Amino acid sequence: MKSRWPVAVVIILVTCVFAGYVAYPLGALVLESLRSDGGMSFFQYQSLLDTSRAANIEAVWNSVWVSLVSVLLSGILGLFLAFVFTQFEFPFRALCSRLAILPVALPPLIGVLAFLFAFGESGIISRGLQTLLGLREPPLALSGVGGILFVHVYSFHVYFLLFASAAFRQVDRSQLEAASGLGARPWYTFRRVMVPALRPSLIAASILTFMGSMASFTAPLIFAGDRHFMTLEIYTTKLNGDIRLAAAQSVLLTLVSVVFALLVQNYRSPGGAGEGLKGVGSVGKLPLARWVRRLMIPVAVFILILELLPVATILLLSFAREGSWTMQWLPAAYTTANYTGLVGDPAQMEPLLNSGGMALLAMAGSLIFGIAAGYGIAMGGSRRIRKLALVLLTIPYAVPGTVVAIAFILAFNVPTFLSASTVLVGTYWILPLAYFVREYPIIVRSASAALERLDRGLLDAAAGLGAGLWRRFRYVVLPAILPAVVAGGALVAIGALGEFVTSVLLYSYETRPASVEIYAQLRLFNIGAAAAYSVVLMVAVLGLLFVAGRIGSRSPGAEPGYQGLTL
Amino acid sequence: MRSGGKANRNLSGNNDMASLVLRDVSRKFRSTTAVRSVSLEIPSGEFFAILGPSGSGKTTLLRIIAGFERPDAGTIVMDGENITPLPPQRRGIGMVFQNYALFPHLSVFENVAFPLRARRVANAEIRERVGSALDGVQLRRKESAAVTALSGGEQQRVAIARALIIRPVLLLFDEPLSSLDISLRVQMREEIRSLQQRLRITSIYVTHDQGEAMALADRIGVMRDGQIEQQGTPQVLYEKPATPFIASFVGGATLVPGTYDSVGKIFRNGTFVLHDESSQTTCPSGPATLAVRPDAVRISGMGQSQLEGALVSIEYRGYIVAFRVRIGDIELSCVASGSHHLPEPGSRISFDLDPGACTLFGMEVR
Repeated sequence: MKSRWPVAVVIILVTCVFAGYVAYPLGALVLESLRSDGGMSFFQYQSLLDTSRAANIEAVWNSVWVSLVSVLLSGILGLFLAFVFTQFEFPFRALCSRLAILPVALPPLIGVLAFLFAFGESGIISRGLQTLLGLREPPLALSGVGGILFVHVYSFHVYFLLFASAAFRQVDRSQLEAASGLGARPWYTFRRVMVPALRPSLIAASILTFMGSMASFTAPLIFAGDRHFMTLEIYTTKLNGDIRLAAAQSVLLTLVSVVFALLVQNYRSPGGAGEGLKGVGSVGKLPLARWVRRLMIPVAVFILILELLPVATILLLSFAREGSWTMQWLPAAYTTANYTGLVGDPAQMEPLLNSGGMALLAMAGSLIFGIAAGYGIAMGGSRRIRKLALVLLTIPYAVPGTVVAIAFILAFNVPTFLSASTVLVGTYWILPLAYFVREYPIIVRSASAALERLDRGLLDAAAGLGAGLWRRFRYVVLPAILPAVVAGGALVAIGALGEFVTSVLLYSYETRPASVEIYAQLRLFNIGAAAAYSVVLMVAVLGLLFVAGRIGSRSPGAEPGYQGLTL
Repeated sequence: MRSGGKANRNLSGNNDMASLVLRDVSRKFRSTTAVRSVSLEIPSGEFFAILGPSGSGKTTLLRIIAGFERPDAGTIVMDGENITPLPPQRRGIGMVFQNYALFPHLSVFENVAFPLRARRVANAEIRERVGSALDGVQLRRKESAAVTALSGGEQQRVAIARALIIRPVLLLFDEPLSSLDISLRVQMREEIRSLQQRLRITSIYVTHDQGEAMALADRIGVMRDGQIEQQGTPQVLYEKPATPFIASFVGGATLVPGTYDSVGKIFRNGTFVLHDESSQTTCPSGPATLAVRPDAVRISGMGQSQLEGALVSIEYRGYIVAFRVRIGDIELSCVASGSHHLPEPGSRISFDLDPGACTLFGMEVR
């Protein structure tokens, strides 16, 4: 690279956007949490930790232990599925392992609803079992902490599944053969050879799961009852009008999350078995007894079916006539009115159009900013500076959605030049802007990772052959990062389409996105309508996921899409 | 370690070696037959190399001997005992893998100790045996290092020490030097050879590098399309190749198609005629292939020799010089001593072929 100034311009622009829309709102949040009527103080924090107000302490405790148990259970389930999907060959294995990833892409509210409708006290599966077995009470009644854990495990075990599958595939065949040739039994080989290879992936997945569970909002909102959780506390404190206390609660929650996010940076690339050793081999399989295989495969397939049932339930309920599913096992009457209503009535169509438009805006913004930032990181500075920049730029990943919303309310409830001298709160624009801030790190990460892998020799060669800066970007850089970046863009759109946690604090009636509308319909007991909205969102998400998978697989060494997902 | 009643190959102590016999061993993968009715006899203490181009089935054959693959047909007999149904860990075989298959999370010591720990050998004995095994490969002082911190050659030695620690009766190598650079490869190949001669352990070594096979092995079996095409000492393979393929793969010979007249002892190619009164060949008249080894070409002054051709290219390699000579539509690859003075590429040269370095085959090139 002969001329440095275009890189400098890119870096300056990226810094400005980051300062205005990430650093400024978060700074405003911290300031507000320290403000009291007389000036600055730690009053809010003192009252947070005041033992006489047990709700706050209980919220911290509940959030932490539920998160830890979520990690444990998600780990067991994800590891088991990863083992079965990578170690055994069976019919439809590829399809199964693809379906098993779906839960992580399901919009959080929809996942929770699907569980409620399937396994809740009056869920189809619960009532179905009750009818089938002739019981007086439904044998399942998903609620309370159990419900929250169920939903967390449902979504977050996918991290373990993805990371552990990647690590299992990296265990070299010759290593397992060497072990068995040297006299080790399968169980000994599993403990001494496979598990150590897995450790980095397990740690990375654990941290992501812990962060996701701490930030989880929807599951507690629906299932918690009168129990307190940190995200829920922030939400109710804000609704009660005490924005300063909400700010302090947000800072506390973020601190816990960011500490863990910094840990994750050190464990970014899972696997690493065979790293630093010469030569390459093929995927290793343990020589397991036939009965182990005969036992494990059906169990895994059964779990997979259990995972898909909630989705099927939503599909069924979207065709239920309103009011036809009260005390029965299955809805008594079916109609397509839930869908025709969506298309026919502009007021019903509005939330979908809102979500679609906002997702497009967030995606476009993320793509432009993410590519620029990734390019700036890859081209500028020493290795250490590049790493620091990546950590800083991906901070929003670690900030819970609820906290982003509180920070945005505090930052944009006054006109500033950042918001073109208008009050952004209450407008349409604050939502896509919030989605952008929450989701752009995906693109930064994929763009910078792809650029790290790009051979600098190609740029030099292009320059030597007379290509100018633009030509080098257009014909060398862009083709190299496009698959990863476009796949990332699809993930951004998925996240924005179903976003609920931030939206529920920022929307107004005209700008309500689909997820908020689903929640509203649910509270009106319009289950058919809520299900129909959910199905439309799910179809869109599946389409995007397909696109992301198709394009992303073309980028070499693509990371399994790990998305800071909030329930 | 399970022992009662089950047949365990000698794992317990005395370091005697085994003979190995393969009878009609075959292995099919879906549409391709990787190993086709292979029979071999390897006496105890021999260093046997399986040489072949990639895809010839040599690695599959080795994995069948190790027990990682089951043959579809045939038997494997070690010291008179049929070991075909035995799993790898009961065969008493040590194996060194192409990528060494060291466990990256374990230290040098723990890598070598792995098979002993799996067998619940007492700690004191582990210390002693691993220590002396590491002494044997000059790595004692690196025993607590991470294997990932070692050089390729050192990793290689750890892999060998680990394979030897169970006191195997048969040692298998799967292209163990292919990921090392050239100078290290030559050094390691000498180390492996001297180790094998010291222990006199029966060894089978798979490689696609004929130089490596010739340098290491007492005998070589050359594989092609799943079959052993010829086996014998390096010298026999080089000097008396059984097929044109062996002549070209092992000896680097150029194959020249033509016809042979056994009465006049004349080989005719479209562009030249070779007459050898003293030929001992039993080749019948008809289509034939002449394998011309690189050392067969003898350059002489213009007009003094039977044949004339154009010098196409010259490649100096220090003590030898490799060059190519075009005669008609044939390009012969040749070598001469590095001190030999050659004219500029493009010049015409006059040369003879040394009959002792040429082999005649009564068939067309397959």
